[in-house]
Amino acid sequence: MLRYILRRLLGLPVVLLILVTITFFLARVAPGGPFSADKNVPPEIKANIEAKYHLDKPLHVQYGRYLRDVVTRGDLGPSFKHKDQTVNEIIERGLPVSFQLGFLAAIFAVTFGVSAGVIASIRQNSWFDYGSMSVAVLGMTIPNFVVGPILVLLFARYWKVFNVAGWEELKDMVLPAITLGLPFAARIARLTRAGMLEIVGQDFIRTARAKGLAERVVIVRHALKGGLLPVVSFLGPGLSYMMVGSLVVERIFRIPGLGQEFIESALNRDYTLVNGTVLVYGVILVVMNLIVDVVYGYLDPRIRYD
Amino acid sequence: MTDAPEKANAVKSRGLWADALRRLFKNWMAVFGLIVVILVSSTSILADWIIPFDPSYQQRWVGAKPPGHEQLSVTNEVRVTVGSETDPRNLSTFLEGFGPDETHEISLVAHPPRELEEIWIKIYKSRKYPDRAPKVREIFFPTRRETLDELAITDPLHTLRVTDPLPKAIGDEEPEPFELPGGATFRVKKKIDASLLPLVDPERTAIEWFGTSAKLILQWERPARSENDVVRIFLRGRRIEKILMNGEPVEGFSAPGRDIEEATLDGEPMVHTHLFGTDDVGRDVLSRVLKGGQISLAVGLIATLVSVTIGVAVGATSGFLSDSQVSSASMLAGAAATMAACGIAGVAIGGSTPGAIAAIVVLVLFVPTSFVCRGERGLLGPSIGRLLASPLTTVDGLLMRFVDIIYTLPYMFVVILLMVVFGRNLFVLFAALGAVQWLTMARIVRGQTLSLKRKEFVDAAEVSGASNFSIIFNHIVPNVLGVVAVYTTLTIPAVILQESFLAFIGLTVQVDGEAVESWGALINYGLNQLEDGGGRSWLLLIPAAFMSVTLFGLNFLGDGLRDALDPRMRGKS
Repeated sequence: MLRYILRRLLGLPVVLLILVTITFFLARVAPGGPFSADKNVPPEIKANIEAKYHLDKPLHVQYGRYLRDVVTRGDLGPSFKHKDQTVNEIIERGLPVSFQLGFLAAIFAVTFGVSAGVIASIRQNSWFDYGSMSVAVLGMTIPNFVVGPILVLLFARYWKVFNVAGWEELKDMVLPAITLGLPFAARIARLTRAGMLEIVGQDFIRTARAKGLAERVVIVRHALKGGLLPVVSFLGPGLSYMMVGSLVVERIFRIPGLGQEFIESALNRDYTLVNGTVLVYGVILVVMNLIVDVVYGYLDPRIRYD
Repeated sequence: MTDAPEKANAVKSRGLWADALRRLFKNWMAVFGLIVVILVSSTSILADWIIPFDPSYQQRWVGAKPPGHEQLSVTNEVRVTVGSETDPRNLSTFLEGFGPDETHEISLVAHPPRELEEIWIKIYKSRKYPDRAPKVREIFFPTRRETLDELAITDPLHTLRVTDPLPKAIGDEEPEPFELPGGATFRVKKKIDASLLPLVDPERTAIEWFGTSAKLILQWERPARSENDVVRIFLRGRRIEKILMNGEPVEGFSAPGRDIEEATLDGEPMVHTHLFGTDDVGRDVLSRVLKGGQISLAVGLIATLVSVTIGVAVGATSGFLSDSQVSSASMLAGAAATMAACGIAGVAIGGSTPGAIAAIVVLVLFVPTSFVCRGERGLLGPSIGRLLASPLTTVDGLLMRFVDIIYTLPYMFVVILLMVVFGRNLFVLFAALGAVQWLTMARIVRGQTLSLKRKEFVDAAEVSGASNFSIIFNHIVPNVLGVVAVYTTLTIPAVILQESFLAFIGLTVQVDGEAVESWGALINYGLNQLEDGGGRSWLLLIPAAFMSVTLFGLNFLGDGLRDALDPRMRGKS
């Protein structure tokens, strides 16, 4: 297991290098530089600005300098659009917000998904089973940029329970977290139900019941661990989708997170900020996947990495 | 009883597809999905013929009206122009906006306009002093970011845009422009000082007349008109029979829809029902949703076809050649060819050498890194010791490592980046989405191929001398089509979703400089139009409902197809 983790960690820089390279060159070949919007800038000033950001150097020099700064100092450079701010500062500001959102959404998704799935599997073919699974299909199909506005419409406009937008109090975080978590809650519920149904039919569960264990103990102690396996393997990609989905959710609810910054920077051609954001997302995704793989191996002894 | 076995024998054995279809039609959710898909796709194909209104046709005087609103209006169905050409007086009517009872000469001194260039005139009305006449704030070329001190009125090739004079106060955010029709021969006579121009009553200036009912512009001899004038227009066929103002026949006239009290076409009243209401500039929501669906579905279909083609070809080749070693010579040749192709593509897309260089650099990076990358999830698998004896020596290894690496990238970010860098045109969108979607298809097809190639019929084909190419495309591919069909129906909604996602965050596709408004863009627009208490909620709910139902239908159909083709998979997600 340790060897496996080590090997995966060794490969990490390679993927990230590809990511940095692609984003760096893509952003640089884009027509229209970061300062092309400033009209009537005298050529001397323009040259000064470009010198300040090293845009006057050849492309490979810029690339090398960027790589060196990132690797040695973790320095992602200055932001082209937000004057007097570095990319690191912007990311440090936005990332905690995005993490909060993702964390709350994950809690919502797992709590609701697992409990709905377990109950549905215990009461197979009951009204709860059919009802929750229909809702799950709905939740999986309707995109979150539809769910979010509709939640806003209902809970913030008509009933005024929550605020329309913002990110100050806990109240503000409910709707975004539900919006972001709903599709995952739905997937998790379906996976849990399917996984539990499969496990419950197996011999060791019959043994546990034959021993005279209470049904609660059978489910919680014996069935749940195996039944949740498919959920764990979904969590890796699920969490990464949550990152991507947060782009939209942050936009709907005007949350000052990293997703907003990414969209803004992409639309503004703020090269360094784009590269920095994508890089941070890349690291998060790769690490998440690694963690999930390790957890999966721990939960399911049949899986051996070598 | 006795002949029962005979009857059983007489039952014709059904083929895979007939059997699958029978199962599909038993699944009522799938049938529902099929019906929805047929309905939505047929309305989208026919959208250009069946939509009641031009989706971009604005009726500003109508404003946002809830579903079912009936509007007496003159739509694009009744294009009326009196006289054979647009009268130059159209312009003088417009210019009357700047000062009554004057003929203006406007000259263009320092900024000769180019062909097909737009000139914008921004007019603001003070919110603080609503009685004060609106002022021209700025006249400029939006494309050149140059401001004009003197208004340029140009030949028919140019479009003149005037921004909304009414609701915005000075200093407000950019007002939304509405368009003056091109095609008028603008005559220019006098210099005007743009900053000092007063406007006559903005409610009835020609500006609005042009802006709102460009489709019904008649000449106007500027008779004095009052608020209470009642205008009636009678059309026969496509020609104007008569126009009455206060019961008196009028010869040359122009009226915005708001002013028209009664309009008849061949004796029938011209009333248009906006089934799903209108948006805040009076565009018909139904028409916009149907047109948006056309774009969404087209994108979904084409990007999926792109991904299916690439995915099947790569997957089948990769799976079939999983054992065959690649000679280093052919590997080099392949790498060189791919690099050249990437370079050419880079030049074609970016129009620049840096584009080509970037493409090549990216590819050069891919090749050595694929030595390192291997493993179930596309992350990095093999021990360092096995690096040199890497799977890259097979076609399969090469292709699948490539797939693995792209898988690990946060693809939506890359798609956004591609759209920003290479522009928001349809080609880039197809390429970006297709480039992501084919990966899964390739993996699925490869898996199927791996099991198929051990079957006897492949051996038989091989023995009878068929080439690899022929085996892959004549024997393997037809046998994986079932899986491909299932996955295709599930890919289409995914692509629609991704395109809408992009449109929602503001990356709408542009064709000829015009934003194409797919469902995502409409939903975004509806979200921005929400006001307190949820007024105008139909602008959000209707496109959202259309999109959700379509996605539902496609997903159900896909699930149903999968269950029908592979009954063992039933009920698993």
